Amino acid sequence: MRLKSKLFLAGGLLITQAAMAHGPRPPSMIGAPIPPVPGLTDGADPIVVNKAAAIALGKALFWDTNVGSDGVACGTCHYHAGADDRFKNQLNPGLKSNQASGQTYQTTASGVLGGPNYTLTKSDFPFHQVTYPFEIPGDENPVLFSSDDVVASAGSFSGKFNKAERSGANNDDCTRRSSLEAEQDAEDKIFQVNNIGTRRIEPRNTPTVINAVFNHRLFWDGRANNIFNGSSPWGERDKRAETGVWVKLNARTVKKEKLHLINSALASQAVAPPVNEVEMSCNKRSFPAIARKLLMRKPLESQKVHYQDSVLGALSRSTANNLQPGLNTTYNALIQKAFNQKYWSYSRLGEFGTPAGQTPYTQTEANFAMFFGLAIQLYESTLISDQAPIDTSPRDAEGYPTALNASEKRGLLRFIDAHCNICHAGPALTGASIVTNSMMLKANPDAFGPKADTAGAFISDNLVIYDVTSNGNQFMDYGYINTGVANPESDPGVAGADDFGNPLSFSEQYRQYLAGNVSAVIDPNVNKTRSCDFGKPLAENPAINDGNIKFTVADGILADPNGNQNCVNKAGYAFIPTPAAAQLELTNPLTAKMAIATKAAFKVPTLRNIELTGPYMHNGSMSTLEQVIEFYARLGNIPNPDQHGVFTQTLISINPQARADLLAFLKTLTDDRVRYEKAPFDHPELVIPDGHQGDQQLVTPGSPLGSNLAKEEFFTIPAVGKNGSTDALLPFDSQLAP
Amino acid sequence: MKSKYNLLPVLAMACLSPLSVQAAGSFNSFANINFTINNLNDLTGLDISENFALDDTQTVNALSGDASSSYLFTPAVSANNFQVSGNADHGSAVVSYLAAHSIAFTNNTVNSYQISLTMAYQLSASAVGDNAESQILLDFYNALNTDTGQNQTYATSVAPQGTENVSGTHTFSFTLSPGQAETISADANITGNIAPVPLPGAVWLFSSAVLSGIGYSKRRKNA
Repeated sequence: MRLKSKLFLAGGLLITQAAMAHGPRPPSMIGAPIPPVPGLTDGADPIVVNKAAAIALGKALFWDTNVGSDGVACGTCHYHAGADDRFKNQLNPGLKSNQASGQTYQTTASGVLGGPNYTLTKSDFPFHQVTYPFEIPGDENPVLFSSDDVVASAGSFSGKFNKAERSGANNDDCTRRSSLEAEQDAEDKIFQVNNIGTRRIEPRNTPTVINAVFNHRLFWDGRANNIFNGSSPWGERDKRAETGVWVKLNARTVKKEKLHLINSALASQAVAPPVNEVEMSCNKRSFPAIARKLLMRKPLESQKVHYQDSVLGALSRSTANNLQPGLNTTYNALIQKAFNQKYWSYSRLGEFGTPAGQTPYTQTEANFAMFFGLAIQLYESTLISDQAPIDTSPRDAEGYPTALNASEKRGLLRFIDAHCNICHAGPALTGASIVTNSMMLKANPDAFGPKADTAGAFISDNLVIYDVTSNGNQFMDYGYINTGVANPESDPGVAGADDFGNPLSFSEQYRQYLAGNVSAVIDPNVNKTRSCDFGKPLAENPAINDGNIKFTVADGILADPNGNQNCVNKAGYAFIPTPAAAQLELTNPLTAKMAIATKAAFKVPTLRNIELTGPYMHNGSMSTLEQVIEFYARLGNIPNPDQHGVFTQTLISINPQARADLLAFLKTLTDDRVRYEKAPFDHPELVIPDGHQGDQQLVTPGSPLGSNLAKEEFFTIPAVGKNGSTDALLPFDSQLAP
Repeated sequence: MKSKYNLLPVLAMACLSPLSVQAAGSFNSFANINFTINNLNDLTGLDISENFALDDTQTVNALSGDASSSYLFTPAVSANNFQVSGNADHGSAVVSYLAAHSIAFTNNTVNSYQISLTMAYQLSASAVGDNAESQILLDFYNALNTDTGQNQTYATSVAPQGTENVSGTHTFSFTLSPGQAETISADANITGNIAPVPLPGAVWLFSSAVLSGIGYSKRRKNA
């Protein structure tokens, strides 16, 4: 068998494997610190005055099909180990791409033209296939198949939002898709079969919500900001006057203020889908309009709630032999119980706007985005899966779990010598858990294994790192990595921009900070980045000359004002370019010293419960963990200048037993409570859209939601209480036809 | 602000949706607010005037179908009562009234006065039927908002919430020098909502009860 490789560790790996392994071990998640949110439930005047009520509110809102315009709940895409395992009508043509091919569907790997309402099969995966799966990409390894289509989640039919009623049906009053092309928008034209509208599909694979609380930012591109401003996903970037919450100052005065809640990416994320016209909503629906629909209703009014639901059971109307839909309260009551009265008790009207033809909005309605975001955040903060075998096992002095079987133990060593552990580090197995990883290591430097053997940047609070890529040393957003999954043009990832035109990337802001362009730094703490925590030196230490390309004394350097104490690497790295040197390099088209590797870089996903959360990668292009391991064994699909340089070809490239061991290790990350939907992963009943009657060539018009919309198919997941289900959740691939 | 809806026969709705919503409901809520000047005999010479009036700028009375609402305003020397009620069998109501109660003290004398004023309140909200709710929001405050308080009730016809009735007192103590004035206020806002008739063609699409009846639902096998 021919084999080409960049760096190949041979021979020695088969001897004294434990001695060769280095770098962080995935620690137990038990006791892993949740990044604190000062002011949310603590302090002199907390936003949430009853945390249990807020969690109940959040769980109800998460699973309630009334939140969407046409029956989509958060749980509709996050029901299977926190993710989505549907396989009919789940294809997006690749709409994040800047290439024409992203606008149209391609033929699938099984030879059938893909499109809306297509049913995925095993032979459709992976979406990028090469002749020799374990050899590196290149001319001598011809590509057999490659598609920029994306496997994601079906959302809303969308349409123009008119009104939502305070009671009655699940669906909003929307003017649905016209059959006349001149009246259709871009998505109407794509998500249709024979001009009958189908549910729209997201452009990226749905990540799991379980353990999402540990991530510093959320979404694949990090656009759900760490800081929650009260009404939008953008944190401090959102300077609009309408952003924020209305605070009652006295009986006659109410004032709009922006929140500055840190470590609240869950809330920032939660307020995006309910008003997004692909995911959950008709077009131009606002949170106050959603509030008007929900406030008088019983939560989950058409969904059975288990009498032993770990959060909602006491509020349900169910008994052991008689499961009933709905809770015995209203959303209005839950909000008032959970939240500080200064956000809902202002009695005067007129300040909050009035929707056409209706009565004025109240303060409660006007603040509903905040109630929604923070309640969901508090609920999702309980979704922590810390009872997997990797968690409950004792650890030896080297930090390795001892209760795993022989194959699983070998698999962990493969995980480490293939350098998976460098990006998938910490209890959530992602470097994107910046604050949690840092807090754990500051409390206990041996938390990821003996400190001497596991030195890494995870103890740092840095949001940016300067480290090795396939194209030399570059800045990267910490926890956001390009692994070469797909053509970089098919999705910019963290190199994208926010709604205001600002780059999402922290690295881009840091470059501007170095160059003295202070106004370009819009996220807090980017300017506290410490160069001495970088993986590679950015600027030459006058006392050291190790010959790497970086800013030299001659270029202009200065001591990093962010300090040189307790550095991850060396105090000698604590130098940065002068603003003039940085600015010069920024405007140099051949820039090498200020290069950033953010294009097609995506948030490193957690590996927790990975067995259950396929398909994999930001584009859902791999259906099995075997395919994922093959991908890494050959060092990725598409070599490109932003690809991280941590990969080396190791035993998993040539040894099937090594791959099987690695797979066995990955399965030790599954918490059986997730597998069996036991508390806190229990949930109400949920009816989930599952494609449309027919297939990708023929659908039936006449959905009750609109005459020009396709009739649907559904499946129902039953209400589950704290003791879970007797049926195990299964991996994505297990349900696919060949 | 009445508007007419086209009403589908209720029976047809019932065929489509076992969860059909009628809008029969009513609410009936009141706020009693009383001010007692504790040391009235010591305050001869002060100008004191009491006022209890509806703030028309805050009135909402949106009714449809056969809904009706009313408010009752009974200012009296020792028992100021403000009551709002509404009901509908086939209609909807969004009702909100705000009553502003105040006592103003003006010292046009050459003496200083120490004043003790106790406000006692009783709030009671009630909502019955299929889909009704009512809320009372009370704010009490002095002119500069340095001595303030609030309370509220909430009732829903869904189930008792335990917050339907509240009562309390608050004593304002202050001194007025010659030429000074102070106004103590209590604003009571009573709202009542009765949910509307479902839209024609409204769809209970995401109820498993409905879907199994129409035959849409298929159960996903996990094994």
